[in-house]
Amino acid sequence: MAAAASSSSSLYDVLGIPVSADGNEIKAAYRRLARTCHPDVVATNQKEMSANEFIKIHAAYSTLSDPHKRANYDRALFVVRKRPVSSFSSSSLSSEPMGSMSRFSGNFTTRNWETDQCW
Amino acid sequence: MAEPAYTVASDTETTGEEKTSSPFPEIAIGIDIGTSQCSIAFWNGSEVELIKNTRNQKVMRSYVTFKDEVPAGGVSTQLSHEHEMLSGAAIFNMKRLIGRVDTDPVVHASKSLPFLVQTVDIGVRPFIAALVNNAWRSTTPEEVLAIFLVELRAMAETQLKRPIRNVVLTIPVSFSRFQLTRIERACAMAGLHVLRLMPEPTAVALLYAQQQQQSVHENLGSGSEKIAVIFNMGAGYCDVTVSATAGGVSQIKALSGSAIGGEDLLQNMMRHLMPNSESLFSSYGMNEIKSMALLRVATQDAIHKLSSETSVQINVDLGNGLKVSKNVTREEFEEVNQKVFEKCGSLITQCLHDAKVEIEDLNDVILVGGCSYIPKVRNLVQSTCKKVELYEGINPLEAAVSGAALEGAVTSGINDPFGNLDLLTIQVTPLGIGIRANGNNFVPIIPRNTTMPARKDLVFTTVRDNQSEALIIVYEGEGEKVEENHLLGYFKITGIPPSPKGVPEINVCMDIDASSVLRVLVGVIMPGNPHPVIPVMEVRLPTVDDGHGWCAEALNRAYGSTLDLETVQPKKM
Repeated sequence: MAAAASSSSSLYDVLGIPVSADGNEIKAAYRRLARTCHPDVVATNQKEMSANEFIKIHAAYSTLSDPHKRANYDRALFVVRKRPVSSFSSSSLSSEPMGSMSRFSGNFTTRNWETDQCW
Repeated sequence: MAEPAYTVASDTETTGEEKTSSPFPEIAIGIDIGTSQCSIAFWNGSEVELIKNTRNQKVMRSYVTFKDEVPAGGVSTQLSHEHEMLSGAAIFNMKRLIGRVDTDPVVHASKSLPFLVQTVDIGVRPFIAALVNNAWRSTTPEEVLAIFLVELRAMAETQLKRPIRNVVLTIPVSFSRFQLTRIERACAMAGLHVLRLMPEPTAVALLYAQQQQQSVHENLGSGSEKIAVIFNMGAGYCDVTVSATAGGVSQIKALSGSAIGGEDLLQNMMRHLMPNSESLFSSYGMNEIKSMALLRVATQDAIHKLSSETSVQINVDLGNGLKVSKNVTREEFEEVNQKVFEKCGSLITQCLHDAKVEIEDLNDVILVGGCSYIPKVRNLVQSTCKKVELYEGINPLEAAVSGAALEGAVTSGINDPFGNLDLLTIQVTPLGIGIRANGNNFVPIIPRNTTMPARKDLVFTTVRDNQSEALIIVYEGEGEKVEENHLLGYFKITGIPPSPKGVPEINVCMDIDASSVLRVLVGVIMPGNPHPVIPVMEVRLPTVDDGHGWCAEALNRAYGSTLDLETVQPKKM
């Protein structure tokens, strides 16, 4: 469970790297995690969980590997860390890539319609 | 749980879940069905090996001959191909036609083929037929591919002495998801289960990743990330990818592709040699078909010769008193095809731009496909990428099928003690996927070049007061208007509670798993209630059938904007 990050952990935690990591370390961490978490490399019964995991890892990677996005993220992260944790939601900085729909796919029963029309 | 979960699975899914009884995992084989040529390869335990037919060929012509009752493909019977092409009995180039409706320009361009391709331009599948005993025998691209796949499968089963079921197929980047269902259909008709459909240049990228990995093992390479451009141009399609490779992981950064290829070069050249050929041959009589085929064969030979010679003399008697006698230079060939070559260059430029890669950062430029032997194509790739040297060590005609075979072994869970299968391809979406909203606008939800698996959502709302239903029409493509994109399917959201327009939050979420299966989830949220007010709809797409061009038009005419949605700007994160 290399990147079993909780929803409030930072993107650095998701990739398991220090805040000071350089570009090459970010890429190396992403590849290392992809080799263990990508749905193509996990057992059949873990594909869905691993897809969620990989989406988080890729989201972290795409923010941190872009110098401009990373700078913005670092500034926001710094601001949040200075505030008392209890009074402020850090959801905008969480590693959860999904907005409201994760509620649908996670906690609520969905009706799944498949079709054979294209046959 | 208040709501029961309903699952209505299609027959594609049930056949996919079959387990083999063997304790050893079945290794999926790789198949490259090209517009003009095809090949099949497998992982032999230590490396990728291409399977040869009885004539000792690794690369075979993709065509099927209809004569008498039994159609036969080019895997086993090739010698008579040209003769049968003259008689209108040989059907080929089906990869250009599969999953296309008769309003598609690519279908219209196929009318110079020496068999029947007819259109009535209403958005249904074209009428395709072979001339058998002086009568038209209709067929479909799916049927032709299936006949061909059956032969490939039989050949592989004979040589590998085991049944073949799972396959990895390479596909053009520009194929819509609807076209992919047609490919899967052809495979199912041939008794094959598609494990993965892989865009052609990404299969080449995987082969490249393996070569890089091997050179690291042999201490030849540095092991640092390498950025490569892969340009693949065959008879029917031209595809480009930019990949970043290190440690056996090939991250696809961007894809671009178009239905242009050697067939266009050939058609332009035929028109150049005989400007009135289309009207001369439009009656599709026996003699006309023969003349079309003779012109095609002569033109093809001339283009091949122009790869090594600077000019070529064409002398061909087309019958009916028609003769072509002309000297054609390489410059002339390049001039009549200038637009095709320009498009190729723009595909590379676009791909580099989408990948956010500068030309100076490119480590390797890889050129593959049948058209890679054309000097103009080589020059174009070299000059666009500002690289004098092209990557060596990849066979241009065997690269895609070898990559597919590697992917087959990797996704079948095969381990190699020497680490030659410690590989992973991280794919991206070749086209944007979204829905119709704000009139007839296409609003992408998952943009193109998004890493897969992917899940993204966007909030929409109603356009009328007390609107109780909304039509979700899913499209794939890059056009701003829906009619410029491929229709994938549609379904209705019903039971939206009465409320002023703009109040309900209709959340449309698109989910693509690592095998590229697309699901759309739609939930409705009302202010003050965090829970969806009606059960969330989850639908697997595509759902449309062959009349989809017709169907999109009918939908627009019947509904216009009455069941429309408006996008709400996503909340700032």
